[in-house]
Amino acid sequence: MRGTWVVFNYALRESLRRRVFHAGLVLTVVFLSLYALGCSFVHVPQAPFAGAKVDVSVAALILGLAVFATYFFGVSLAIFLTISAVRGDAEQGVLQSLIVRPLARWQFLLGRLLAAGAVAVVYVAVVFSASLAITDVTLGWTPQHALAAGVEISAAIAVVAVVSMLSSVYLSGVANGIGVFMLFGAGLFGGLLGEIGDAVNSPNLEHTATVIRYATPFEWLYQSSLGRLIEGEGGFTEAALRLGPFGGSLRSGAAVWLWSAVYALAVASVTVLAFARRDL
Amino acid sequence: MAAPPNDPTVRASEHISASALSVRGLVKRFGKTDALGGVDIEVQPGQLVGLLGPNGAGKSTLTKIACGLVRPSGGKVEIFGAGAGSRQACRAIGYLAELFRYPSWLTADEVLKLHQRLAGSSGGTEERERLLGRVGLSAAVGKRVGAMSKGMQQRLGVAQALVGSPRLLLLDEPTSALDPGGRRDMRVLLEELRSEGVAVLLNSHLLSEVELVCDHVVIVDRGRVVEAGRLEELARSRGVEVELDGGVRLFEGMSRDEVPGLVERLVAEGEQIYGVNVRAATLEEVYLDVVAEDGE
Repeated sequence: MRGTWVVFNYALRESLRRRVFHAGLVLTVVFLSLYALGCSFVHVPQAPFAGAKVDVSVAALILGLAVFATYFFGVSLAIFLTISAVRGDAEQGVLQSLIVRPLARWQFLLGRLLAAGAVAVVYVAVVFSASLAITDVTLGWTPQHALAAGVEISAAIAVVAVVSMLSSVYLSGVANGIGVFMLFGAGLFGGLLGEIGDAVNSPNLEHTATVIRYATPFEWLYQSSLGRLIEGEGGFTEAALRLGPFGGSLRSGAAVWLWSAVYALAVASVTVLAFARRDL
Repeated sequence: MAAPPNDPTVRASEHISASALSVRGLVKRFGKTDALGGVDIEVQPGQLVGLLGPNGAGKSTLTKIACGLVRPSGGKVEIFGAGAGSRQACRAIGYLAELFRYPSWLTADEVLKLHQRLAGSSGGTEERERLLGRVGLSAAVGKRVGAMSKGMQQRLGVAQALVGSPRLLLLDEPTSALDPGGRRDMRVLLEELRSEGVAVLLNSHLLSEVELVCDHVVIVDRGRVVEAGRLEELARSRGVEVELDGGVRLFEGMSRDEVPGLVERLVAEGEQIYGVNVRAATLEEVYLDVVAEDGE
């Protein structure tokens, strides 16, 4: 595993030095500042009297939007960090001198994936935690299962990184970015279909949404993390809130974890096989 | 089980029993295109072999297959007896690609350190300083790649290829970005490596450079070896020039062995001979001959 560790360290440094990462950090600070400002505005006009807190449903809706933003930022970061991992770097001439060293190609892939995944997952964990803290301070509410929600949204990002790594074997940088973003968009579209199907009581739409959910388990994990936010609140809040905006909260239990693990392992295996056969 | 990288016993036995590079019946197809159609090449330890050929002849593909970057469609490629691309083979080679790039944010020292770690080299700082010194980059140890000229990056590439003391160097156009001084330095370096027993496969378009430094040449065209051998063997006689009263006269097709007879005949004919010169073909002439013949 020495080779994997060397590549991990190299890729980690490379990830943290990318301009897109620095730009993302700046945008994240802007987002969190605006989120805090928005939350403070929500609190003040709705408070019936001094010291009163807003309703849980309002806080959950706002936090749900923050989770979507976190999900979107995390997916973007995961894609940008893996966009050129194989074909893009090979076309640039970066990859060849590394691959001819005595390490297996799967070790190289694993090192790069772990580095990109680690950066994206830590980023998501930090932004999610900051959103939770802002929500708690300004709106006085913290979800009961915040940790589980955070873990699921982080896992969603990790799955996106695995998918992006696979397509980087076949596609050059820009094409890969467009392709994975389209897949991400397809997941969001499926979530939206599910919400509409639920609203108009259409089994066909709901079935389509389920199929898309299986095809894009990162979206499923995102919906499940939204479900965690209101889990345990009870009564009308838990029953009526769907959160969103794309794909409502879902209670999936272990199924989403099992399927995501199988999916990620299958994609990772195909990636290893594809890279082993690829001429550089 | 793979042999440990620095096992002297294994290295010694490999030197005796195996070619540095052995290519047998190598075939590579990209779709319907035959890039290589049955290539045979042997490179022995301490040999400096020039790989020549026109664009698209298959030189880079051959080099990449030897490195394990490209999978062959047929045939066999071995590095010191180990299959190309295997860990044992990768431990024995150093490679500089024609198109290469190092991350702009790494310094020269960091590039070498990264490759030391990947190669499992225990050379440490001493090896990095020595290699940068060998390619004339001692002063650039802390310089970032992004701030280097193309020539400096190419020198760094050569230093990178030498990390871990490889026994076979595969260099794909290593002097394309170097100025004349840099090319001379490269020739000196290659000659030093040869004297150290390192085998070198030099893929280059610069015939004059190959002529100056290589002792063997392989000319590839359309995926096939069209000429191979020692430079002296390839330098066929183009005739004998004799300086006579009336000027220099060329006797085409004559070889060195025929010079005594020719001189005897000319003297018998009453000619005054002031000088005799056996005119050998340059590498460029040999190259153009065989490549043109193959194209006809």
